Amino acid sequence: MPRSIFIPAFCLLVFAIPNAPATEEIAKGYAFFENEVRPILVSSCLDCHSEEAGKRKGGLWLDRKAGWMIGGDAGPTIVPGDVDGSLFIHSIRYSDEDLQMPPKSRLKPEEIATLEKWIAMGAPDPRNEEMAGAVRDAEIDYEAERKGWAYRPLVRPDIPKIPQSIGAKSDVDSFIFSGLEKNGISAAAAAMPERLIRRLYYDLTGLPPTREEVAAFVSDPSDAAYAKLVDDLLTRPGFGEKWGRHWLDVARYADSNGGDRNFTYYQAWRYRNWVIDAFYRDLSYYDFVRAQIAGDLLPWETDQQRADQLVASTFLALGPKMLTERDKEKLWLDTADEQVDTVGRAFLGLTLGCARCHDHKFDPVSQEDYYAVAGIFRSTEVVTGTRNGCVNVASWIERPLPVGGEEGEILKKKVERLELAMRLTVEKSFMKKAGGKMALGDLPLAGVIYDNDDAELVGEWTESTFSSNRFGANYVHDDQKNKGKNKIIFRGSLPESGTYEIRFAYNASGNRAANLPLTVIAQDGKHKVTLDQTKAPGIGGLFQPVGRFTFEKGGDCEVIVETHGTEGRYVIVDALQFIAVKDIPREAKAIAAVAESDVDPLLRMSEGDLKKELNKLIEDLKDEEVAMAPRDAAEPDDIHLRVRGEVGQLGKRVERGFLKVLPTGSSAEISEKESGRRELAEWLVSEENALLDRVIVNRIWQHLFGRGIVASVDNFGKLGTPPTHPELLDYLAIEFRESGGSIKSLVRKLVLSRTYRLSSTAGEALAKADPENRWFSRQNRRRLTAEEIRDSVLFFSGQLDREPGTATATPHGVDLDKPFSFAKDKKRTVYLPVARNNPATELAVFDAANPDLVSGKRAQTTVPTQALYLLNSDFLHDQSAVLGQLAAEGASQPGGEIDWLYLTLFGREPNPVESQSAQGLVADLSGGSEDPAERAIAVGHLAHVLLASSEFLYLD
Amino acid sequence: MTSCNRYDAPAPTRRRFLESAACGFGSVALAGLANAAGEIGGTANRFHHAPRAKRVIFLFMHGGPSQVDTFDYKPELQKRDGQRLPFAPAKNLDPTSTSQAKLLGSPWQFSQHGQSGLWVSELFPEVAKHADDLCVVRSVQSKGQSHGQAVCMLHTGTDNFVRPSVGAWVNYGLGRDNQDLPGFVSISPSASHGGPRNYGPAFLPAANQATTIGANGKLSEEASFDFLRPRSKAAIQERKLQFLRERNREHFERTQYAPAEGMIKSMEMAYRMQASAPPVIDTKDEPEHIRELYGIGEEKTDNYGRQCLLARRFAEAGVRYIQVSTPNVWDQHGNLKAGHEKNSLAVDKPIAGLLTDLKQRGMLEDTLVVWSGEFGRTPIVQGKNGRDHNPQGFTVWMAGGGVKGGFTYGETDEFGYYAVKDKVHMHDLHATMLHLLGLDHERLTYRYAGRDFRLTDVYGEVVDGIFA
Repeated sequence: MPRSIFIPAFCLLVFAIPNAPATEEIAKGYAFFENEVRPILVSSCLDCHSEEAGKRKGGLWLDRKAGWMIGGDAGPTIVPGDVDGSLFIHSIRYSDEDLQMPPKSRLKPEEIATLEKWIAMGAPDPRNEEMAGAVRDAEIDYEAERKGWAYRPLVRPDIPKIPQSIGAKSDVDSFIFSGLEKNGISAAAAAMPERLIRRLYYDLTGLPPTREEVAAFVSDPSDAAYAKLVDDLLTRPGFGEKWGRHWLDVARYADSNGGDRNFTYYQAWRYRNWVIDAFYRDLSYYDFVRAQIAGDLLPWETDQQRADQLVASTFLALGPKMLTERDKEKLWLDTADEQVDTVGRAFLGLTLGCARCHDHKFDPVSQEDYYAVAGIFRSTEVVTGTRNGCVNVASWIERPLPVGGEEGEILKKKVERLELAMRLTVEKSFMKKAGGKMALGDLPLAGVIYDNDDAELVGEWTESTFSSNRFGANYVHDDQKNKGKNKIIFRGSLPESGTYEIRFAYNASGNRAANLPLTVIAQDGKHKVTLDQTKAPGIGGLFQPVGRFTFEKGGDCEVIVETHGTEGRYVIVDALQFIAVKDIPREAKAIAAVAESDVDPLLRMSEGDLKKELNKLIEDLKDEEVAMAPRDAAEPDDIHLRVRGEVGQLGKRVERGFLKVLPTGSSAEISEKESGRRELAEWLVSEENALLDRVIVNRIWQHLFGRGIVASVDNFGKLGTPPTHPELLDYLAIEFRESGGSIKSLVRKLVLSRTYRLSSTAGEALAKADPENRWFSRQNRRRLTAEEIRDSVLFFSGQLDREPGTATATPHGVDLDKPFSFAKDKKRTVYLPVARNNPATELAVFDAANPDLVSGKRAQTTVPTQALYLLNSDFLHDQSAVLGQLAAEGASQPGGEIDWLYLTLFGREPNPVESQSAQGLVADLSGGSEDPAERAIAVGHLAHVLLASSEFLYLD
Repeated sequence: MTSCNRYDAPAPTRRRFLESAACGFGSVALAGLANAAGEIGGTANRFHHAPRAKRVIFLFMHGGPSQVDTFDYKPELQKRDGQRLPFAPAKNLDPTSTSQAKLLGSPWQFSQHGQSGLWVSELFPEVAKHADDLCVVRSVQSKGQSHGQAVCMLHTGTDNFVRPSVGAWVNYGLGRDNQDLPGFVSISPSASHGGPRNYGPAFLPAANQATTIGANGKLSEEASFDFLRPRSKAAIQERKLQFLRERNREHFERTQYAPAEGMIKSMEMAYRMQASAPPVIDTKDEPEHIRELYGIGEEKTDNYGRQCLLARRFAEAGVRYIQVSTPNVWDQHGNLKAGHEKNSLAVDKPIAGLLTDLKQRGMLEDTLVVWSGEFGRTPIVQGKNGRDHNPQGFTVWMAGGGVKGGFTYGETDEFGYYAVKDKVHMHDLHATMLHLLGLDHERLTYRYAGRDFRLTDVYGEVVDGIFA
């Protein structure tokens, strides 16, 4: 039936006649449907689940039989005859808070009963429309997609021939100028030397040239002198600081968590400095990528290499996290999601995060692709335990850096103890406090224990303290009465998902029940087991294991004790223990060590002491040689696709792997025992993956030319912008690959080009011919970055501290929530702490990157707050005053302060108009005073306005 | 608004520049500023339909006040105090509240108020006097069992991603009314639970974020916007600006670079803001009877009273979206009795004062006042005298701005735990707020990283049942 034809409900019976039921029973069923069921569907369901309404929420149609048979995203909706097994009933009963239908209001009890009855009848439904419109979205045609400009293999393009007269200085110019020629555009003139050198210094080091450097270049602006200057700048520490910052934007670098709790990341700075150093020493980009994805898993030869690699992998742990998420599985998946999305954008320019809930709407990334990669990161541990002693506030993994000898052993031990303290704290929080004196109070039992007081008692139970072998103040027994009616329900709440052993506490005797029926409701349903209370329990003489079951954090977890079939015998219920299977050896060790004196006191601490100790350990480790590095999970595994991205809605299991649109290359299969990050890293950097190279060379191009060849630097997908110069992009990618991933070689190549050295001034004709500078017919002006503004001002005033910063965030406390003042800090801005949710005003106001997101391209806004900052900030005022003093001291002759300022700030002398205007200002503000102090203050005002001027703030 | 002033657009002609620069301090020069300065992108100043409200004052009760102790009267809960909850409690609660799952009746009396007979507990005697103006939605649901998630959900429509805040969307969608003031102001916002994310622009243009004043629920007498106070005497600053204007003009003439022109204008605007914002912020000129109305000068209500009064002044001055936050005080896992009494006392009179004041100025009809926590609290007890978080069903009330007064909408179950009838998800609340402001939540979109984003993601239904 064509999709566009809708047949009103009342017609259906007529059309349905050829298929009419043969038996009376079916007819009765159809009548029941028509009279009882259909009205409910119409009034409560079809608004969102029918072709007529044009809505198919959750992929489900309920306007035809085939709709509910095929079902929606979560599979078949109704199983005829199976009331409890039908998702439909599950959702209308409102028993699951994540799936309640109809979403706005619950159905009336009688309506629910009707629908239950209908399904019990076998769900007779005469609506026979086909599912023409229900066909799934077309499969992604990977074969075709792979031919797209972003994904296809690199082929070296021919270098276009251009006339010699153009004066090309590199192959780059051949591509650009042939484009200009084809479009009949003549490029701008070459930039004037004093402007070019200012641009070059800022682009390469983030700092201005000194007046002497400007003078030297202006007197000899030859190609040879320029090339020499470029080589000099490339070897300065400033290069690492400037280009490292570009990558830190992409890596959403911050020194605090952001999210819900703004905990200080005490160790993040190591990653920052590693990045700066990597650019400084021109680490191969491929090694740079490998180390960030899998540094903790890579082999090493020296301790330094091991340390570097561990620190590099901090990249994965740096993201913002909702550490207070109570559903830890959601926290794990959200953390993995953040990593998948960041890796996608940073390295591949792909918005992989879009495929968490459904196939990517535009790009060839399926939801399965997403979960294949997400499985790798779900198998990677980043979050763990608790940070502040509260069970709901998670922490992150820290790993000791290689420190030789005994010190190294001590450090390792400390880090291990911190993790043990985190785990034990979580455990204690979950351990119920039992009243009275515990018979087993001295036994360091692990896991979660529920006393009989914590359970729901149904029927009549008798409290007893008769046996001293008990947990907590007392236990209960049924006095052999009320059999079959008495029952006890333990409702569990476990700290994390996993396999747990359940242990039952009772005191044994010959007159107890030998076949006590227990029902365990676990993740995978109900399990029946029996317990023999005539036999002595195996653990500590009180707890007896009854089986191992898998539970999900936040999911079903109940143990029901029933009494039927135990006639004539006592049923004893004292306590119930859930212990994670992986913790059993640790517990055994702890129990065995009770008698010994050298057991770690952590194992026997009270909750309060443990919290104190945890804080102490965190405090103690913050200055130690540790890295905020991830590690592979103990049980790496594939994960289930999540329907609509909902954590609780499991779809099919997806094997870990990579994106199908890109060549698999030579990457090895993912080992069962590892997360797969090593293989992921190799796949990313593999020869066949041209996208990686295209994305990075485009980022570098953007930083030097103001706009990427692909303008949307973080998005190479269909909604990004296609390249203006695809051949040039591929040429650069190939050259980059052949250079072994040398960023410096590429930067050098680009800044030596004639294109880079063009003026940014467009004459009227050029402005008309290439209004958006699509063809790079001139340089693009840019504003100084927030960092460049602050660093330059300190540079001019002679106060810039060129020593690299280290743990600059640490002194700011446990959370980076308080406003920053950098008044006393004179280091380069890249070393200042970056707090999520609490950006330093002077940086935020000039569009510093938001560290919550990958930002390969900063915004460039002009808002009044910037003007207010420039006019009224203490920083500008104070630094200008210093500059005023310096100008007064540096002036070679009276009135020379103005020349001094212009030379220092702009590398040039003022022209007569400027000079006169500045003289006027100084005279007015000093009241014509000859007093040097007065005059210096006035010159300080002049310095202030020059620093607030567009000539300083913009690069020509 | 033209788009010709974008970065990379053809440089304006010298003549046009002189025309606009000649306007100097005049407001005419501002007409093109928003775009010239890269401030507002896309759909600014565009209504999708006729608005019912011109502005929003959002009263945020940080920590999560209890619905069953304030506006959601549950006789059955009172009756069955101490009994076990007859159904399963929500997932992910603290084990201390789920192991017993015993109901806790409200320690406060409820009574009916106004002609509408709206039920309000004795915690809000002053707000109760406005019963006939309140539209009480008792069936709100949200996402996030912890504060961090729920606070972000309330403010940005997502519990785990970084997305623009409601106020930023409104600012983006409607632009500003008063060019000398920000369009979105957050008074005393919290630094925790997402902090600036909750009033931030995320990927929207930066100018859409809130300008803040005060912090963490506290507003000192001296609080102001950042960098508003001139560092030099007016005459000196004026002279310096004159010089700067000349230099910048000269630079612009040479470069014909549009952002340089934007800078000139933003300097003028900053200069004007220095003059125009302080009189709005400084509440000292308010007559004594108005200050009293808000409880200013009384120890318990002074702080929130000044916040509410400032909110009214911003509203009058043309700010579109104003949030007023309490400190994170409503989180009574224990000490419910004393805690909620103290918290409600601090806000009851100020909020009532705000409603009275808006009404007497004829502003209530086009000002949407919203009162909400990030979630409510459980009807089951935690410890002996506390309640855990409850995003499953809680109460938000609104007043003015096109909603029905003396009206209740939606229901929770008989204990006030889960929303069961006419549920209003946080996405629906957002859709409804936008609708009242004249914005269609499905059409207010922004393209970022490969797709069009909405405040309500793929959800949200306008709750038209509450419209007046």
